[in-house]
Amino acid sequence: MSGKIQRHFLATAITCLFAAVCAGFIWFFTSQFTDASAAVRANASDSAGLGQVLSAARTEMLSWCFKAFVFTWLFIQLFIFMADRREPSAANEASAYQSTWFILMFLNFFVLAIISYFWVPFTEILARLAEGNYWILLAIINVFSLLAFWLATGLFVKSAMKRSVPFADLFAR
Amino acid sequence: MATNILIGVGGTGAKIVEATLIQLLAGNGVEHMNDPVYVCLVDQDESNGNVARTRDLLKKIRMFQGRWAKTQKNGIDWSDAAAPVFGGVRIENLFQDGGQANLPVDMWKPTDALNLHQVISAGNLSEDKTQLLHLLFQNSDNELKLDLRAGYQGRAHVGAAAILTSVTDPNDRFIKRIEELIVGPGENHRVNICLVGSSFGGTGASGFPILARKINELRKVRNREGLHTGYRSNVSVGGVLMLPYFSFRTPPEAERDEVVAPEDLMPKAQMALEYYEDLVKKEKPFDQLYILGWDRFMQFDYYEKGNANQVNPATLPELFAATAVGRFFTSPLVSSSANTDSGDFGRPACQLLVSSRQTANVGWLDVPSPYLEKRFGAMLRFAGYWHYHVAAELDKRPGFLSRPNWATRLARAPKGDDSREDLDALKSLLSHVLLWAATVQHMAAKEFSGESKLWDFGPLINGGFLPTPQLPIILLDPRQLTEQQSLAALNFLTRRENGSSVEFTSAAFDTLENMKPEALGTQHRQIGALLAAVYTSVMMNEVRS
Repeated sequence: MSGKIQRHFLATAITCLFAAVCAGFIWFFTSQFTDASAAVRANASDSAGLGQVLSAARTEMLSWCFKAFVFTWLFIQLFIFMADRREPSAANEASAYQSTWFILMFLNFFVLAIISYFWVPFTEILARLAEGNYWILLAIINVFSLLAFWLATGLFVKSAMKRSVPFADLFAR
Repeated sequence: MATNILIGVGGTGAKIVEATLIQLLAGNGVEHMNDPVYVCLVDQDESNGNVARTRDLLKKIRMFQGRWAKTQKNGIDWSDAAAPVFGGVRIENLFQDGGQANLPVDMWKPTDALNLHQVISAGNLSEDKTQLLHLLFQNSDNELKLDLRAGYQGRAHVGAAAILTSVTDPNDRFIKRIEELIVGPGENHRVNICLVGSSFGGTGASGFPILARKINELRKVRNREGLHTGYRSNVSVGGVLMLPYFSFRTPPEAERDEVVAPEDLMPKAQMALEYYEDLVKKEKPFDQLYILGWDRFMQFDYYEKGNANQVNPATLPELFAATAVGRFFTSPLVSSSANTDSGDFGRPACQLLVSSRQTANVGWLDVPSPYLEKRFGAMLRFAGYWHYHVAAELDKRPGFLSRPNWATRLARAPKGDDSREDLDALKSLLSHVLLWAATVQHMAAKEFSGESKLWDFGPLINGGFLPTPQLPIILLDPRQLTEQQSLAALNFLTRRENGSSVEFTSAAFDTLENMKPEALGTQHRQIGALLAAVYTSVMMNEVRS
């Protein structure tokens, strides 16, 4: 496998790993009866009904998580692809590319906000899930997507372009 | 193993030695990298600018090789197969020390006398010898009293008499040293002696044939009765003789009778060639003799009789001459059974090679050396890259949460280590090499139309410098350029055989950024390891392309 493809593949693996961790959190925060909203708990006739409500909320959250990481993955691949095409002659030239990294990161953040707004049924989820759990999951998915973007680009951008990712030197051999 | 001896006779000889040293520095011109090359300049005019510049280069190379030797703090193990060829050829001064008189170790001055009158003790000659002397020297008083401190000033016959007197002295240190190097290593050790000089000047024209004949004499094998029975089969004598290839301003009227004028060059060269034709046919002192000329003369827009002000800019013909030296040093020893003519003692016939050029410009394919483009190009890229980029990288300190840059990592220098003197020795050597190459390009540009097909220093040349005929250009100091400017200029520095630029800086950066210090092995130490890595990065790129 050529180095380029390998790096793209490993960046995909890292994204998947972060997505899986997020999915784990979603599972964790939607598995107990106490995770359901107070209204749901008050109106639920039995534990099976409560479980169905939580399961529906989990599905919604997992779907959102999946979409968020697909877009993050796209931005990661885009950055690695663009950086691969650069041929810096000095560290400063690579560092100068940090502006592109920040633009892509903000775009990623912006896209996450957009998809959240249009594709995530907030009111339905909020109606089903405890408010605290909802905000925690919202934060986890956003933070983990951005973390995945930083880590995957920092780890798997080509060596000569390492300095185009802030603090990527921390991962250097 | 072989011992190579390079003897530059006169100012032009010194300039060819300078070009040869630069070629040797690039790793060209010897059969095996660990074959030493002993260098000596022969000139009566010790202060001659051409000689001084070559001695300065020789000193810089010796300083570099000493400070960066394997056992030193930043040592390079040149014996390692993967070591950089840059600087790998061992350059030695001909003389091990200057003796009690503290004479120069890299130079032989044929006589300390002030004039020929003193050299031959003309005042003590008998009447008939004095008359003979006046017969041989047309304008005898002027010539016999010619101040030799400024050299022979184009008067080859004056120089011939002075040099001949010295070489006939068996205790002369030059002759003794050559004899020592010929006889010392034994019959199985090859010894190559190459003389370089001009056919048209003073010292070169007079010293070149006399020294060739004397060295040829030294390699003769004699029986107990002193009769000549053959030649040492392990000793080869080569010569690189320059025909006129440059011209200069006409000397002032007052000096016209004392020195060579530009219009005298060709007639003098013609006479010299007639003499050499006779010499190579009858005496055969050379195993190989290269005679080089240049169609249109390089113009040195000044005239100097001699001394320190006679500093001619480096030119392309000298690089061609250097390739001839390299060819001689790397030629297989010719079988002594090739010629059995009576009186030759089985020595082969002299080999005469003529070189010519058909195109209007000079490219790598015109230069008769198989590795020149690869190694010379790599050396220039290395020199430029180090001088304009790597040295600055070594001084950079890592920023917040950043690891040290590649230069510091690969240098593996312990904290607080001060290698300033080693780096200064390298810097000084690289500056010399770069200026030499830039001057060659500048002088060639006067002759050729279009851009240089060998190398191009364009953006690195200091445009604000007021040129002199002796120093037509200087290069910009690295601090006068931004990193981006210097890297861009370096990408246009060397050319391939097809004339395209070797854009190497990004590939070199990629290689160096990816290189792990442990991958460099332990044979090179600290900054020596970095030097090897940088050289590999510029060389690898060339091999890849």
